[in-house]
Amino acid sequence: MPDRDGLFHSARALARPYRLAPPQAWARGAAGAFAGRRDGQSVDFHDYRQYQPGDDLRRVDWRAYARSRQMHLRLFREEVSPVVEVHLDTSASMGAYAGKESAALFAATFLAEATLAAEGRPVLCADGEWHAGGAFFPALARCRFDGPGRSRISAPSAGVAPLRILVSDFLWEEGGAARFERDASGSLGFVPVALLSQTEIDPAWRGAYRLQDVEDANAVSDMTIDAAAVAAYKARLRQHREALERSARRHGCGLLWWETPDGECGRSEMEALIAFFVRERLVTLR
Amino acid sequence: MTNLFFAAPAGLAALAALGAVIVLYLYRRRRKPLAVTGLFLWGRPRQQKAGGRKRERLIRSRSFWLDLAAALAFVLAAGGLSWRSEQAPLVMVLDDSFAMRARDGHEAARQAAASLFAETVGRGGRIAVILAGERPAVARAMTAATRSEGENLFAAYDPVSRGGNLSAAVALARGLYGDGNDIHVFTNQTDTTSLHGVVAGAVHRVVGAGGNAAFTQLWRYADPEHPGRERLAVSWRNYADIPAETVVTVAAEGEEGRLLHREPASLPPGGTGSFEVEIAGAADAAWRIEIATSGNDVIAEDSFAVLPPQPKAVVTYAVDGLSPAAERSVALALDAAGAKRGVAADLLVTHSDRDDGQTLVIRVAEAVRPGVVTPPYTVDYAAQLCRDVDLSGVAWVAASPDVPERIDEVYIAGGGVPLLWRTGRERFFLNMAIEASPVVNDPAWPVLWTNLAKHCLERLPGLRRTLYRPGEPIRFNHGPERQALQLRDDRGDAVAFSSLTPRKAGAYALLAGTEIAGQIAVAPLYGGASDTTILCDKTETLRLKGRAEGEALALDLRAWCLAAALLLLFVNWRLARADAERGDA
Repeated sequence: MPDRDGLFHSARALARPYRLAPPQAWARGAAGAFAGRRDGQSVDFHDYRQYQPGDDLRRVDWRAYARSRQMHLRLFREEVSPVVEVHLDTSASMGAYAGKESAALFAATFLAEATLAAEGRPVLCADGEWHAGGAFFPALARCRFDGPGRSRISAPSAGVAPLRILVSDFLWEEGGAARFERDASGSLGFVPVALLSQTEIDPAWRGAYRLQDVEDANAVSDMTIDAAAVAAYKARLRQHREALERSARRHGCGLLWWETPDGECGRSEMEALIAFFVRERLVTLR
Repeated sequence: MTNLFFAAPAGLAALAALGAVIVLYLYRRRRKPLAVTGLFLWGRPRQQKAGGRKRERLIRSRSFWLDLAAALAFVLAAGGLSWRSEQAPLVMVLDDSFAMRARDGHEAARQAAASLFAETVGRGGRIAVILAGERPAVARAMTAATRSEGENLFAAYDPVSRGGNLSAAVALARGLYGDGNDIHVFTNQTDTTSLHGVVAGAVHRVVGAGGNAAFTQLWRYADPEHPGRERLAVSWRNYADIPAETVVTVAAEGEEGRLLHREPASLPPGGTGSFEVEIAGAADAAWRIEIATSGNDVIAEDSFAVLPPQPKAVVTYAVDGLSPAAERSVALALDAAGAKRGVAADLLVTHSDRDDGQTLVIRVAEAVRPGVVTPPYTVDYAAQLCRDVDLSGVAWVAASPDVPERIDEVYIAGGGVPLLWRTGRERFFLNMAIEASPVVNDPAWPVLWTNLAKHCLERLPGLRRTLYRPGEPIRFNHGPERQALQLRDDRGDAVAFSSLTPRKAGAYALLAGTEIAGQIAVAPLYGGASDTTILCDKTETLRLKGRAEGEALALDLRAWCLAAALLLLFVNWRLARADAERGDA
């Protein structure tokens, strides 16, 4: 198990120069650090529109009425405060390799810090529970990657439309498309981040093995792993990734793939992951 | 009668192998465990592990069933699984003794058996034919289920054995098909009491009063007491095991068959008849002598033309200082004299015996035309080669008087002409034009050949077969040179095998087509076999195996079981390999 305290400390330190990048649309809120695309209560003038019965008379532009005898309302841009849902896959496959686990924890910590830097509200969704505000990091520290699979990935919230980030390995035999559709709906942005270890991408095993799925004790398969078997495995993995990417594109989001080391992520891997987030325009420098 | 049976029930102890397979699968494949994420990427899971059990539950996979089936097939093979028809076949025992060749003998047996078979086939039955020779044998076709198969089976019925042991054949039939099966015996033997109470079926007597009589001696000679008259000595024998009413007739050829003599005789089984008679009035003609049995049934094989006695044309001229011209004129004169006697085809003039250097004695020997040598024969029965050789009344056709000067030992001679002799230590010569000689059709021929083969057996370890049948197809290779086998007859013409009857071709092959050809040579005048290297490609024994061979009638499924087991193992291995290639564990 990775040294989580050290990991979180490093993540916070590395996240200081960064803030969450403004996406195309943010969730509406009473006030926030980002200007929304809709009409709101900020001081930034946005547009005029004709008065309609029931409109707040305080927003009528009386000066314009004096000139034109037409009643128009002054519209101001809304102010949004980003709500970022970090959905963390805590299935056993995510904990099969220390690199994946530490990368997932680092990504969640880093994104939460970046959200806070953008005056947003990070929400951790793990093990079917929601943790917001001050409960985010304690809950993250308690996460155990030993779940049975997708069932441990929390359902999306039904509240404020958030920016939704799903950190998983997406090693689901099927159902990826439905998951993307569900996560993308009702959110202002959905960013699936896929973590795969080096061994998962290019297995180095050779010989006769009894394969057992880490998430299903009943799923056992005897086979002899040779070059042909590995080639077939890679072909299936490639098809799986392509299918997931097609599904993600269909729902207007891009699937971010990140290859983690088998062992625990070091500083260089963390910096590379940050660079990856910057490159993917998920965070930006303050 | 059951369908399936085990020839080796003890082999069923191998059933334990099935348990072993199951145990192996219970504890099978102790592979290194490997935790993987996304097992579905490695292919379809082949087995489900029951959680919480120390011992794995039985994996009833495709591989398991294939291995189990293979083990079962091995067990069945070890047990000697065999199959035989549920419906008992109609078992026919055909007397294979040579006596059945008597007129109407084997034909009647064949027809009777064929009609019985036709009746059986009409009921959807099958037949099995056992030949009752000296030792019983299952007919080569073994069993037949259709009319055409039956006809082929009976067409091959050609009795040549020196005896017919019906009891042994019936015992073989009972051993093969059980005691309760009907067995039909076709024979001409009169004494079938040994079969009473043994055969559940019928004994078909296929020959009535007829028989199988053959000449044992034909001798036409000039009466020494009455010049100008000739005498004929004839002896014949009833080879059948039933009494035969025989009539020997002598007729003159070329005179519309004028009857010269008629001699009836009733011969018991194995009995011999003989007569010697003076015949006048047909001195220059050939006499045709035939045996008729019970009416006008003439045995064609025992109908011979007996030529007039050859004159002793050895004349010695004592001349003094014979010039070549005189020699030629003498030769011409003798040639003319010989032509007048009708035997002048080949006059042989030899120069010899220069007595005193002054007188040249010219011996003009009559050239016996290579052709018929009639009995009696001189047979050295003390020699192993001549054991049981009974030349009966057969004429030795086309024997050559031109024999090598060196002859170490003569085994058979006739008319003063050596017919079988030995030169050197192990080189035998047979003075015979095989394609023309009826000897190869005689029962004595396979006996003679068997003796020859046995004689050479010790020096030819690769040769195992010693008993041949005339007419039996003999396969052989043409040797390394792959030259077409060409034999030459007494006129130097090539004899092609295709122009020979199968029987004579077989006789050729007996001599020329075996390794023994190196040991036994046809006299060079009559064949070039000694120049041709021909090797046998098959050394099989014709000695009957009795029950062992008969058991082949029951379909032995052991080989099939073994093949099935190997096939199942191969399929299992191939599928596993294909799975591995696909990564589809």
